[in-house]
Amino acid sequence: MQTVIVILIIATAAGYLGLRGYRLWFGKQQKGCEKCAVHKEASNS
Amino acid sequence: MKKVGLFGNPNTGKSSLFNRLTGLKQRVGNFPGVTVDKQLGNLKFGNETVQIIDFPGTYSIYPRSADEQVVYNVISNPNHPDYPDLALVIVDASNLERNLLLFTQIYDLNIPTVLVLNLTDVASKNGLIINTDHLQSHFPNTTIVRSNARIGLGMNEIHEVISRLGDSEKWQKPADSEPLIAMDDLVSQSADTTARFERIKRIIEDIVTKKENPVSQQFSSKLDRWLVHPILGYVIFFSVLLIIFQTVFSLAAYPMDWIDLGFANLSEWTSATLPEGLFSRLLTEGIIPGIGGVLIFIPQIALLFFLISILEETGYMARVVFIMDKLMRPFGLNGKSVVPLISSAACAIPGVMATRTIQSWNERLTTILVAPLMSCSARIPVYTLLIALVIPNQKIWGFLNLQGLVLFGLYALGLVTALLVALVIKQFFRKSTERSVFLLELPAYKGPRWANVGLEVFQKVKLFVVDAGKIILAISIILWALASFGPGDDMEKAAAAITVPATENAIAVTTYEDQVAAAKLEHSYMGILGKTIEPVIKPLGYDWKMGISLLTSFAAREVFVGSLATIYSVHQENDDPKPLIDRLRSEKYPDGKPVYTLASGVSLLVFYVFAMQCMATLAVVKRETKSWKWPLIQLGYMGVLAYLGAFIAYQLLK
Repeated sequence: MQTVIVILIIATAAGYLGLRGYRLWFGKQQKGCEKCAVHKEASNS
Repeated sequence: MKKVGLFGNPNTGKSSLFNRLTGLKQRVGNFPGVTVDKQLGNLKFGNETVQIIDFPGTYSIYPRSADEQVVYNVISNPNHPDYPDLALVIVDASNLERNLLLFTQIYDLNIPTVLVLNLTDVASKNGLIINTDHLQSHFPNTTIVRSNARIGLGMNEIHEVISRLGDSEKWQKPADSEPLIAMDDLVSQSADTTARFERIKRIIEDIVTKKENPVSQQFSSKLDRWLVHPILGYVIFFSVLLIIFQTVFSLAAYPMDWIDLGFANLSEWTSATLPEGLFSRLLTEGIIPGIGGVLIFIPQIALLFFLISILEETGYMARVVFIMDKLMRPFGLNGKSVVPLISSAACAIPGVMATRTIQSWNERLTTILVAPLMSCSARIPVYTLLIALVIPNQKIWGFLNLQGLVLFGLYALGLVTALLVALVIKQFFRKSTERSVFLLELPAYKGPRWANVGLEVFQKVKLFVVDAGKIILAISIILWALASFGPGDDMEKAAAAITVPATENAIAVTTYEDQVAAAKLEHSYMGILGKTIEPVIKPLGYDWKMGISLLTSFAAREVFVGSLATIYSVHQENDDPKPLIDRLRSEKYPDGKPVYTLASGVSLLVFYVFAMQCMATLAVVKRETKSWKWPLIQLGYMGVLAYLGAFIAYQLLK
């Protein structure tokens, strides 16, 4: 049981990093900046 | 949905008003250029919702830079999705002459306007008396509201005006609306601006009365004689920075020790309480050390931003921007590069975005390329851990803490390198004949608003813990998995090859356990990866564990510390919990020499000053430059600088 939980946690962590990396580089225009929350909406211009 | 646009010159309090109206917590600053993109928020009246749009500050409708272009694009096109039904033009009541230009331009368009006289408290302190009845007679089709967005004065009136939006009959449109002048017709724009200023001058003479020598101006002028002095100004600024770093190091040390020991004990307790198994190991060796590696730096980050926020609130940061402008010009950076570079000292992402205020593309690109060299808050955990590890905690001249001094030196190294790289880019690669004009109004000094200070500290800590924390946690879990498993039964074989001590002597048993842990780690997937990259980093004085942490911190710099915490927890017996720094201190090569020496520590510090280890910044650079070329060039030149700098540091000190 513990092994299954651990495998799930590792898969979630890897999936999260992969998804985040993909969205950062290839995602649609970002809704604001990743880290600082200064810019919540990107310009349409 | 009806739309209300907030317009105004930079630093007039638009974002403060936006926060008041929408209840959001958009960042506000006491210097221009904090908002470089439009921000959206909502305001509800019963069943009706009005959208509030905070536009970047601009002195005129006609754009000179990318951020000002946002305003022109919207205003010049009634079919634009953000074209406002109502324009709230926020003007600085203490400087009407400059601020009324934008208002008259928007007033003359066919948009209902409200003239918000903000910063009325500053105007009063400056001895200015504004006759709003006379002002109203000059602009009969607008509603005038006196406000002070910092304390919420005038909000009821503004709400009342916005709530009438649905009732179109109450809006009287200006009789003679003027079309906008074409964006490239600079001659007509200049003539129009001159004519408007002539008119504004006459209006000011009619509506403003000035008392002689107000007290606040005398106070600000007296202070500015010292704080923006061509020589003393820099001495005072660098002294202030030095005091901040000294304070950060000396005061934050205590809570950091408590957090570090607390997590070590939690790990021990969890290990003793939970049944043995993979999940328990993941928790005690991966997740808990990973989270501890993040939370330990909260005191330093909170303290640093508390002190910087006070400087900003009092108006001193505007003076810093002013004196830094003079410092940067000889290096080919223009005045408008100052705000992006100073913003980068917190985080390079808003710094890179703030370059939109720079008109010249070459100057903007140069600023983008050097901004990540400014030491950001993500470097603080790395700096402070390594400084505490290899720099002695001793006093110089009886009062200067050496560790604080080194931290100051690292920030200075980043700044000086940014200036030198800018100079090289200017001289050899991207010469620019254009010069951007940098307008900066020095606000009067005032006491800090503690709510703003608290909010700034809370937001910075939250961003560090939640945003960076998620990445650190995920990487810690992956690292734990890579360190816990290896190909086939290599790990078990390596552990079995260690000779079991003949006696039950405590030292012999501990040595045996350490050797088993080291052998397992070395034969894990992570060990194999680390040993593969070791030849590349060996000349810099790093072992393979540092190499792995260096590799993972390409996602974000602060991951370095969390990675070290995880690597040094895996396979360790938890009956003697030790803070991370003690584990690093006791780490030795097989020949008994310490791994973390002055030479390897300084080499790592230099590496982190220069290296471009932030995926989020690279992504923003790609977006802002609309090209893969520039983030790759940035990654390359900063990587070369980091490698060479670290190599030289290690070879000189070893």
